Amino acid sequence: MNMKMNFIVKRVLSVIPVLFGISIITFSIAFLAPGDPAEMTLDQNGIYFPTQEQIEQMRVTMGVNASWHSQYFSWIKKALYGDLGHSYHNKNSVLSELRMRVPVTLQLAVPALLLTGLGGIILGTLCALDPKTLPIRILSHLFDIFLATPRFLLALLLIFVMGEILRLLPTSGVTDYKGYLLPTMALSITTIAVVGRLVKNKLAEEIRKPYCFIALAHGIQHRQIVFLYALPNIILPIIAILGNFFGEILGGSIIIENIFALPGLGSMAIEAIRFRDYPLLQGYVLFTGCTYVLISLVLDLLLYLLNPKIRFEEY
Amino acid sequence: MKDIQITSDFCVDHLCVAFPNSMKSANVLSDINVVFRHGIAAAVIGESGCGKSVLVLALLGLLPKYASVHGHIFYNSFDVLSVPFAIIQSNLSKHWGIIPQSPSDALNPIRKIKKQFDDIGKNASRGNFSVEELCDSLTSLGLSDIERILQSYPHELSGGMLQRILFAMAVCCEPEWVFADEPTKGLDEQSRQQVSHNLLHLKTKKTQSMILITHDLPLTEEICEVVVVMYAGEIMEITNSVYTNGLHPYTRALIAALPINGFNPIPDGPVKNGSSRQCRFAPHCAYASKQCKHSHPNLYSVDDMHKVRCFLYA
Repeated sequence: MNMKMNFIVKRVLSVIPVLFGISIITFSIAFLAPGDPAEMTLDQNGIYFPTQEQIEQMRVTMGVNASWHSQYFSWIKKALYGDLGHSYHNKNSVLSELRMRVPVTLQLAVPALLLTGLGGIILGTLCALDPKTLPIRILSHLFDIFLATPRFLLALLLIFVMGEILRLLPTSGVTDYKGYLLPTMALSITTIAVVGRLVKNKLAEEIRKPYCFIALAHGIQHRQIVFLYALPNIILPIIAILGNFFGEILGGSIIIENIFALPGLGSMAIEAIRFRDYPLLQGYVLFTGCTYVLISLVLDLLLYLLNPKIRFEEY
Repeated sequence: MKDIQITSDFCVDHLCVAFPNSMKSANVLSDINVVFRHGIAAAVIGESGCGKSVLVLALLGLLPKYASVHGHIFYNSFDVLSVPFAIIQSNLSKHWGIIPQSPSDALNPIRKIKKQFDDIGKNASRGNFSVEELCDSLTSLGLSDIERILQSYPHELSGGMLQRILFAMAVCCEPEWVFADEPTKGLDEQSRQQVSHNLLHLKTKKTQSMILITHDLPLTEEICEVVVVMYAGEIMEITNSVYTNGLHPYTRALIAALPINGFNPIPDGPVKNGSSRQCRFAPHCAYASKQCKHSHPNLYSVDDMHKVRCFLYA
């Protein structure tokens, strides 16, 4: 019990330096980037030319003329209270912008994760149950094909088939749940193939191990060996992969969100970059960095608790 | 071979097994003819690579699919080599108990011991085991604190405990046959005696029919009524005791190589499975004559229970 708490506390504390690192990097991205944010704020469209005095004044109001460490401390202090500044180009607070964007990305990422996890594990297991039949062979080849298909191509194909030819689903916008169907599919099909192939190969490898062979000799059915013996033994690395995938798409899939015109985090990032909107970009980097750290923390703890080989200190 | 009536015998008839290789196939067993009688404990001995394990895999219907197999193995009205594995599993596996070689990787690492017992019970259509039943059988094997053991994962137990658990698993459904693959491999003298004791106990109480694969000659003497000596994929001798009744030069060389008999090594040289123009042991044999180098000896009967593949006894 003691060792367990020890591990959990250590793992949670180890997050602190990482978060500190993220804040430094986030801050310096904006600080080191070329271009003068004061000038950018005054001149967003390239139509209006501000005078030198106006720019100087704007610099003072924005605080961008102070030393870097005082800028960092004032920035982090505000950030801790949830004040990430205001977007240069649309004057919204970064926090409210995030509040608008995150739900969209979540509604994309959570179903994509579930689809990937369930689809990958079920299809991979099917392959291991009956590897020689024709449908399973076709499935294995499909895995290879989808594994090699870039997501944007898949997205375009889906739009073409489902949207243009069959006219079943909307291809852009998020007026209702239907808008999320195509992007979710585009996001998860590739990863279903990744997970499915991994499950299939790992199961095939596991079934050849002595304990599965002995179980077979003891008269335990192949199906039972796959589900009760091999699958639980390979599930930990699969969970780790799914966790990483979730972290990746929680940052917003920039390409998919752009193709389907979803107002999620990914399109926010593109916008921020286009307008050199540093506060918005900082908000994005900070948010995705922190979620990634959080997910890997949860993942580590989950794997730790699920693995009986580590749990045995309880006795 | 025609006079076999008792169906629970294992009757191996002209069994040949080869594993296809990239260049040519490797002959592992050639023309094995032997009957393992029900009610009798038999040992299969021979050096590593002589085909003992493959023979037992064949008996259990567990040869890999890529093996090329000829011949028959009759058990109960089934030919183990030609029926689908699913039928072996549903009809025959419950008659057979297997004690695997290395206990540490023979159990599912993330399933509790009790559940693994139940998996076996369910497939023998016997249902879950009660804790008392398992307590009895594990206690008789010299284990204590059974409740804790049953709720443990394999990595929480020592190698010796795991071996006894696997022993109990092999016999938990009261099988007609027990197969033990090198049950005393890598054990110290005390554990070896424990294993030998357990096997003897099993033999006197429940299951008389056994096939032991082993390098442990004293063990064969303690437990088995029949010893099958194999060399280079062939049966060299079938006898009741290698110590008192071993005739084949190879058997005698094995005895002479034991530490108590002075560690006399068998002359070194390549072992060739599959060549049939000479006696396979001839290159290493102190008694080899010209005949041994030019023709292949058959398995000659010395008496009812004793067969030797050597021209000296033709």
